[in-house]
Amino acid sequence: MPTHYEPQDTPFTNPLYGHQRNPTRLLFQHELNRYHPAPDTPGAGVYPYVVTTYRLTEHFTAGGMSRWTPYLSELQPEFFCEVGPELAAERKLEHGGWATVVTARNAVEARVLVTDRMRPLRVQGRSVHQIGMPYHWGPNGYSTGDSANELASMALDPNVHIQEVKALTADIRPGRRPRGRERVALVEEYRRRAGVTERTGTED
Amino acid sequence: MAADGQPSRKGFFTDTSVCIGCKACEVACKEWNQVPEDGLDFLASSFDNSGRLSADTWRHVAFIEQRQPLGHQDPGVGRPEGGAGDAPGPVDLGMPSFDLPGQRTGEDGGSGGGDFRWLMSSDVCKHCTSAACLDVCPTGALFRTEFDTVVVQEDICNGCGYCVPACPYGVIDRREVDGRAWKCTLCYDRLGDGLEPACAKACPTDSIQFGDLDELRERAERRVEDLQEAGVSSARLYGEDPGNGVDGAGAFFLLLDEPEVYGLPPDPVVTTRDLPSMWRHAGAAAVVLLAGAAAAFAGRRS
Amino acid sequence: MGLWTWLASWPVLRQVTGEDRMGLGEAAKSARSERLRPRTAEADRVVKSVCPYCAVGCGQNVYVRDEQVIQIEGDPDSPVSRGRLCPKGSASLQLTTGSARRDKVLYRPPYGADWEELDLETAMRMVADRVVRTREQTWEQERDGQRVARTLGIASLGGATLDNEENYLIKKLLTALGVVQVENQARVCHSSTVAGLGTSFGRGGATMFLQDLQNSDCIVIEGSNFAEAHPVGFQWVMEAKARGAVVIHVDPRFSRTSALADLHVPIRAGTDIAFLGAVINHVLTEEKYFHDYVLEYTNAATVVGEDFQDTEDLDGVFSGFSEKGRSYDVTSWGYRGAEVAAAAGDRNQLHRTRREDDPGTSHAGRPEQQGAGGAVLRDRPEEDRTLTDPRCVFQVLKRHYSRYTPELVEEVCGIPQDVFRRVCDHLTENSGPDRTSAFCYAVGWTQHTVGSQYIRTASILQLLLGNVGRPGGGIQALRGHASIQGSSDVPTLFDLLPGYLPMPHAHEEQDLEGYVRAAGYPHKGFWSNMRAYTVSLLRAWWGEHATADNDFRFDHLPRLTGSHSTYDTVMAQIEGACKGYFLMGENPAVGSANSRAQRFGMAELDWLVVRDFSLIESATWWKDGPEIESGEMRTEDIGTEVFFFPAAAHTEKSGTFTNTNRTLQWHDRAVAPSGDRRSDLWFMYHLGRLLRERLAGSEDPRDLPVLELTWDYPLEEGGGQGWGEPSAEAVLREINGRDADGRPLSLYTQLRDDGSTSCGCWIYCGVFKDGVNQSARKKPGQEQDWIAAEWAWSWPDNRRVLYNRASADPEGRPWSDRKALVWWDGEAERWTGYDVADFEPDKAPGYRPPEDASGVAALSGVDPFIMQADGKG
Repeated sequence: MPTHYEPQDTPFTNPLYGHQRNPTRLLFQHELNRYHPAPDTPGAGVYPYVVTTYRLTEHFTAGGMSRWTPYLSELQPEFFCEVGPELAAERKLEHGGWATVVTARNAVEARVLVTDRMRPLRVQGRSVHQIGMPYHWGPNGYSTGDSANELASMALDPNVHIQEVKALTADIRPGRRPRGRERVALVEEYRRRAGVTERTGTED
Repeated sequence: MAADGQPSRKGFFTDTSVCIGCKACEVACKEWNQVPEDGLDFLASSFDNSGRLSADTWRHVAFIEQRQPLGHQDPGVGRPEGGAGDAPGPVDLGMPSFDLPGQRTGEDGGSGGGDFRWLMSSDVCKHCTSAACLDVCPTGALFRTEFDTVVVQEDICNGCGYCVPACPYGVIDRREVDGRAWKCTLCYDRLGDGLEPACAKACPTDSIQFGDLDELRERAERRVEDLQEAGVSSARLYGEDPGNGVDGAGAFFLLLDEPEVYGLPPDPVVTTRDLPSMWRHAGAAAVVLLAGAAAAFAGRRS
Repeated sequence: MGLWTWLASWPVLRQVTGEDRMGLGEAAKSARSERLRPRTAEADRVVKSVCPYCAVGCGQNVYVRDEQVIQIEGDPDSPVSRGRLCPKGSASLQLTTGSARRDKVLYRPPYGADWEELDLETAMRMVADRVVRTREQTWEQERDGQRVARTLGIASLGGATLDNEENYLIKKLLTALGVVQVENQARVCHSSTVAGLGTSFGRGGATMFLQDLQNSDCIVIEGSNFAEAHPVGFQWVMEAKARGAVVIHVDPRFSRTSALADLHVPIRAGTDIAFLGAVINHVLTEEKYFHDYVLEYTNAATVVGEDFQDTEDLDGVFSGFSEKGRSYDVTSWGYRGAEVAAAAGDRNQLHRTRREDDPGTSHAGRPEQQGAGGAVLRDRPEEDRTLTDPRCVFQVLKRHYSRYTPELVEEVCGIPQDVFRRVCDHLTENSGPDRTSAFCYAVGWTQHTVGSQYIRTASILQLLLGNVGRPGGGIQALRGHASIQGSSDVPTLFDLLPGYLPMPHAHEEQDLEGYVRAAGYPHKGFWSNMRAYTVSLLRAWWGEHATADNDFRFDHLPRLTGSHSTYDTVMAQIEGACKGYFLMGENPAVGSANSRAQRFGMAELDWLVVRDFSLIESATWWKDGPEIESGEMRTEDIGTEVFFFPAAAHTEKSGTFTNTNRTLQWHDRAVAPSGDRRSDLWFMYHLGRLLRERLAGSEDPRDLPVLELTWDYPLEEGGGQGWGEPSAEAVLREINGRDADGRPLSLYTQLRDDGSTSCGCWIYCGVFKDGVNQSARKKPGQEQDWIAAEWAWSWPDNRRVLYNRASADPEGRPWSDRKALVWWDGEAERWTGYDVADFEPDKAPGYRPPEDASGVAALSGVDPFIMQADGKG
């Protein structure tokens, strides 16, 4: 029977059970696939916001059939992230400007859309902000941008091996991301601050 | 068909209360009319990256995010049995209150704080009954078709641009790359063969409805009544009234708020409205001037 | 033109002499305007096709003139779309004829700095060489002392955007080569659906169809952005709304779907189980469930075994959890009085647990097949029809969700209690004999570490409310790609064979009999014919060579030893174990989780074949990917050989797509592809042909499966000697199946296990019924009723609403007139109604099987879930 478990990356503890997350979920421990610290541990605050990914009607999946098609590309020309006004104020994000979103896997940049449609969640007595990101972009084609999947880790449902990309945690900061070597350095700096190791995030 | 065998007047009724903002209309129009893509610009204006109607955008979907009660989203819209016992009336569905400082009207889980709606609407050339663009066109490129729509003939247009400032809605414009004026033709070529315009055909929720203008007007009036009865008091028609400043639009809308909210002029008037009066005044002035001149010369003999 | 006519056409003259004195109308009309016609009127032909984007499968009319496509717009005859298209479908013309498509094969040599051109036939031969070479280098005959006869050195990804026929050939050829790592977008998109819906109801597909939504009284859209992802499908929600239905959207964001909903419930991403569980709790506690339906049609009364312990007892895990193995031993999950094999877990566990070694974190995706069939039962379990025994499923369920209260929902999900209660009220008021509610979901539910569980929760809820199998009720899984349902059915997935038969696992004794038994040879329900389905498949693949004395060539199938999903494959690539990769219409560098890992994996490959329209990120990462920019990789150090084959568009090939309604729709080729562009059918067929030529005469037993494969599809003229396009229709006929005389079969009940029948995919059996391509039927929707059964063909057997026996009460009468779908006609002694009954046509409602009955005969007249071993949901 289905039981509530927290997602792999989550800022909250599971109020129902001692087991936080699905104990049978499949994980891949690898340098390229580091997980985030569990909630209520010291490093958890380094990636404090909840990210969710989604589609837009103007594009299609990984973009192969829409980012090379000008009529569709012009409807949604750039990769953007949606944030609520409170988060924008908290992190000094400028509407129409750029933001960099960072996880233990990678860092991406996106245009900023500040909207009332993204509201902070009030859960377990505190407020957590959400960031929304469409996942259609990549660096090639007519309409280009970073890929949201750079941020996601591989953590799978044990029955069918599907990945969890609908709920992650991350940090966001204003401005474009660093290029080249410095991008990698930024990700590593975050990992250090969060104390990410190969065991991080693998507990239940 | 009218009695004389001529086709009856055709138009659009765009019911924005069922628009899902998908922009199929924009794409279908461009594909059919081979309108060029007009720039990858992220406008940061909700989901609207087309901006406005222009020579290269003949259908434009507007998005307006509002902190308003979900007045139009009401269980029981049209429900035969009258719904869950609640009388229809302006009802705020109580969007779950978010933690916006100052917004909560002080309750926990009460019905206050319902505070969001997203209006979406597909704009298009109005095909006015009294069309200023048509009035001022010096070359006869713009003409009124047998369907009573207003169309620019691309083989005649010389790009003078007189029509551009004439339009009270700011629809028609010149295309940079070739200089001519372009706008929605209500798919004139398709109408000739009994087909419906590309946007109306594509629209997934039938927000864009095409047909005989009289019939559309009746349908629209019924729809507004239904909506208002169901508690959507802000529902109204825009452009439909034959007594308005353009003597009625061939493409009219059902809006859920003031036209300005959608970026539409509230009470546009055909810019050539005063022309006859201006000519008369000028004529009168000329007559007076001549009379004065004649009088000046007439009484000169001493 | 005569002088007078020419003069008379002068606008000024017309203005002066005609009615249009102002010169604003007819007088100003130019000659061009006079002659104007829509370009579609000048088309040479109009070809019926299906949109290649999402899984609504809107009909498209493709207009061709002078062998060029000049317009693509909606097909008003389609009952699904009614002529409408979303922005993507509307852009099909630009997609297929625009300048962004490539038309030449490109090649990147190892360590090369840039692309080179290569001619098509040479490229094909080179790919065939590499397949042979890599297969040779990485062949694995045994693993841990057991025969596997496979290669983990080659993998393939992609299929959901391809035709069913193409998926079929991909799976057929690669499996015969011993390649098991065959995956597609379904893995990363809706694989949870199969396990979730399959376990609950018996089949891993939507229980209703899009047009059926118009009949709903309440629609809950959760984990889906219906209006944005399936705009044309959404028109049916709008129809329901126009008829008075309540539309509720539960989602973390306020999206375009929320804008049209009556109520938007914002929920924290990842907490739907808490929410749905609380609704279940509400329904159980307030006794709002549909009592008769639950009692008769679900397993609510079945009593669970003593050993089972719930998460309430064990603080978040169920009995049988192994910390070390991070998995469940499901033997304690049985019913009292009946032996049961796993419903959600590894069916081969019983075998594996006898071995000492730790299965580790890789599990095979058995649940997909399990899922299509649920728990396997032998014998009849105990029941308590009063639903009061503390160990009956009903009470266990109640206890399990007892702590999922509205307060919890507020705390965990962030949903205020009054809103939660509203949702409960809308749902319960709209369920029951007279009203039905539907749930629509998509990847917001599936893409989680507990994805299948989300769907399972909703399934439980819908069963409690009595909505499954009834018009306007049930669960609409909204799948995303043109034929992703097909690519799960046919399938290009590592753990399945066509029709949700499992891929065999390596065991000490693994023959056909053992395989059928290990999969849990049930004694009741339609899965009891599994042997027939399997043998028919083997006959389809190996024809005459598959006979009873060689176990129908069962050993030609490679074996699994755990999970070989796409993510495992990526890890294997990073580690250097997987050396060759095919990408067919899928772009993992953008579309799969952890883009970096995807690229690092590809950097370790020997060779990569990409088939797509344009140079996608997964084809160019070696040249301009982020790691090149950061210096972590250098182009000159990357040894991966890359082939880019430009692919044919949907307008350039014929075949079927299976949409989210489980409907197979045939699309005809409108024009031939130009340049080097070819269909994936062409590619797979000729690759197979070249491989068979390479391996011809080989004595090595590992090559036998390839050489004995039935691979002689008729080719069309053109394309050079022997390089023509294979007939998709021939492939579909093979999928449909043939009897011993070669005649097309009509229904899967005709399949036999003695080798007299062949069938490529038993759930598709019937698509070529009576020798007619049922999927190509295009009787306009306007000429049919709302079911529109004569438009294309749905599996199984053109049944549109699954489990529709449940729309009638135990006596066979509809629960209410308003919700009538199928019913028992006592005089004709048949089931009749608007839809084809998902039930044996002549089995009376009053039928009760004798004690010793087995197989299909063991299903009673009140067992609507015919794929389940107990017939119950």
